[in-house]
Amino acid sequence: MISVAFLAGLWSCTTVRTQRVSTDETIDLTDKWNDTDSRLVADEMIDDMLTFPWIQQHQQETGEPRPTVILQRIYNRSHEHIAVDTFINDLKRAMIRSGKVAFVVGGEERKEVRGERKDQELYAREGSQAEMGQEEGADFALSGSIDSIVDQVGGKRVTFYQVDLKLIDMTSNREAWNGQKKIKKVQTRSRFGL
Amino acid sequence: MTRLARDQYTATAFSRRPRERPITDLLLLLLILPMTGCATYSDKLANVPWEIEARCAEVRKAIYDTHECEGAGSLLCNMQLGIIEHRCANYTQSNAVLSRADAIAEEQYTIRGSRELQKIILNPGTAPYRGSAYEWVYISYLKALNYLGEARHASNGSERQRALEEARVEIRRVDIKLRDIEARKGTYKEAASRSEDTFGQMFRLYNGLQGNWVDNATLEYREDAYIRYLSGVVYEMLGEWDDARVAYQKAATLYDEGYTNQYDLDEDMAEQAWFDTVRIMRRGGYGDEWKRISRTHLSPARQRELAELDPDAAQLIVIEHFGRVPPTGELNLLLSVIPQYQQLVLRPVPTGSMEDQRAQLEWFFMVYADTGILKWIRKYNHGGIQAVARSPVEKTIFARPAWHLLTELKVPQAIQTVGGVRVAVPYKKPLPDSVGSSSLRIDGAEVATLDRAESVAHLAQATQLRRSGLEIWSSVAGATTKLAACSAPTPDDWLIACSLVASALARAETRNWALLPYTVRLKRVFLDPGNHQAELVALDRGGQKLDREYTSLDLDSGDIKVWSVFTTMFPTATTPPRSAGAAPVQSTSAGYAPPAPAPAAAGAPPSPAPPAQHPRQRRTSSNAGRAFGSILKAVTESLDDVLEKGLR
Repeated sequence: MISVAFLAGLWSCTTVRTQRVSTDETIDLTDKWNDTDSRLVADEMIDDMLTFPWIQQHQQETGEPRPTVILQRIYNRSHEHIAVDTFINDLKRAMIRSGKVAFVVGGEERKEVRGERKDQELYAREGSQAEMGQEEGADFALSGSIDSIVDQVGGKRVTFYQVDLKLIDMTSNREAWNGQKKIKKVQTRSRFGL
Repeated sequence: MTRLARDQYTATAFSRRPRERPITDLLLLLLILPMTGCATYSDKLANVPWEIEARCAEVRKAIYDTHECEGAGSLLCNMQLGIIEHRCANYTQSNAVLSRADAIAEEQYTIRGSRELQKIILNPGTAPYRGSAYEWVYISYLKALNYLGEARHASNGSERQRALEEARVEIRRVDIKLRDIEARKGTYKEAASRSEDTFGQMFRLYNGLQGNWVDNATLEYREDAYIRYLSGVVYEMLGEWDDARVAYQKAATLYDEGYTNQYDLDEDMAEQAWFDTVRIMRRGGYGDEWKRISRTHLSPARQRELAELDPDAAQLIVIEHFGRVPPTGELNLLLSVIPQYQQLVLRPVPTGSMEDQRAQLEWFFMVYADTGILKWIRKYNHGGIQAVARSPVEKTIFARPAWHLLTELKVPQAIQTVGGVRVAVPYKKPLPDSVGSSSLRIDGAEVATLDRAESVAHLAQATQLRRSGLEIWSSVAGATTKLAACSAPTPDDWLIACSLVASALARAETRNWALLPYTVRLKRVFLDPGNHQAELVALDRGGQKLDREYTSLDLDSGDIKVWSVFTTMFPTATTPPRSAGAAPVQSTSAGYAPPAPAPAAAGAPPSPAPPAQHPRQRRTSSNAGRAFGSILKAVTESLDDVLEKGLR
């Protein structure tokens, strides 16, 4: 009887329950890169980038009200498949909203826009066509990398992420701004459990 | 209770039931009959076609039909689907299921007591499959291959770069896994120095006297030289020279320190890894160190090749995944009892074909049989020379410390009533010395024979050997627990029924990632830029063609292309290769045996002669696999007599 009851106890019932939570709430299920890390990086970078004097310096040097920035590659050298776009988009949005910086597109996105402009020349009504040769050149290029260091033995794992972003002055190759955010996590798993 | 009182108690307990019962023979028959009908995991996979690429939907369905993809088999299901989707070139889908498998494997790091108990009381198949260390590593390996596949088929440079970076992520993940394994298991150097110190030598001597032939230290999966080599390839493709150099050098050191010997690989792989280490070092930053390494580790021919090599030559790296990892079989054992000596005795009950039976007896002898001098002395004292003579087909458990408990639970009585209880443990068949070779042709000319860089079959076999002790103890514990559950004062008939149920429920853990390749072979060649036609021909050990793959390559100066292919090894010597759409070849228990040489068909072009062996391959060293093989051969011959008598 006891054996039967014990065997029955081996199976447990599970139910599915879902609830809505605030996007600002920190929920760490594992030590993997998550939405909180992405938000922390974006917040840190936005504050640092907007308070750094590179925008004023550019205004003084060129007389232009807003510097233009192009986004180059953010290299993921970490051990996680990280959706870099999430914090880069947060960053871009904050910069554009501040009204102090303008972004221009690059890479594949720019190719597509150029293709569309060519199409307009052929198919769009005269006067509504986007003009060729009117693109705005970028003053600065934003690039960076995400690196990680992981140390693991058995059930204990220490994970360290470092996000580095930098703005390069396209004319002088000067590094106008450099932002950095570090995140360290420890995860412990027990080898034995019930 | 004193020893005398306990012995008297035991004698009284057994005197209640007569030992010779007319029903016993019939019960034994009932006990043994279900043994032949137990489906192992590989039997369930028998319907999975071998040509996965040509029959993706069918293979996928077969996996869903045979696995509990949302339950105990979820890890195994996702791993199997991962390899299927990879071979069907659905790289994104493959990565999705492999990511799921990775997450499940991580969750299962914690050993749950309730699940372990479930395994013992019911059978291992009812508990979630946990996988092995090498299987966890291969999850990340396959994901890296998926990204390399995406990079190869990328339509533009930025897509290719993104795919390569994702491949690097997997390489980083596999590095974490391997470093964790090494930290826990120790390096080859540490293992070698431990085995040489006084304690290690005494431990070996004691193990020898006990007859414990299975030395876990030599079977341990400590690192993975091949995966390290592939890491070097990925870093080099990304232009990260320092990381590439570190990975190649790590691979070369591992191959040299013990990996080649441990898994019976080609020694040319170590030289290839040193060659690539030097090649990267030559780019600068290492002074004259590369010259020293070149002199120490490369043959004069490879030194000349290095000197003449154009640093911007295009490279092709061919990775061939050949065959399938051998299946795990089920070895049935009969658990009986000798109450007067307070011993439990396990004897193998071989089933299946003659070949299977021989393999089962060999495994039993190698792993479990009473072979140590200390055991022989104890057996001699208890049963004379006849007891010693039975040693090759017996495993004796001296149960004196737990005998009182077992007797109180009426376990020995229950075993005696039915004449024995069936238990089951997993076993692996011996691996052949050679499974053939593969040659690479570029633009119609044969340029190289691929080197055996990894043997998953040996990894699986070593893992099984290491687990063998635990397996037999959990099987015996399962049987005794089931019998103890019948310990309430009940009539004999109930005890008999209970024992029969215990025998019928006994199952071995035969699950493994069975779609992994038998072996991985590799070759790196340097080519002139331009278009090339590459052809890979897999041959069996008799030189007969097993499979053939083609690809067209457009190489620019400095390009590095990885061509990853899966070639098929057909299951039996007499089974001819099938054309697409033909009835599936049933994987037999001899599923991994390479075909024997067959006479060439009339009019067919003559088969190429087996490729000449490189001098470095002609090894006479005492590698573990060969030494093991010769011991087994000797044992087999003596077991033949026992087997023949038993079957008569």
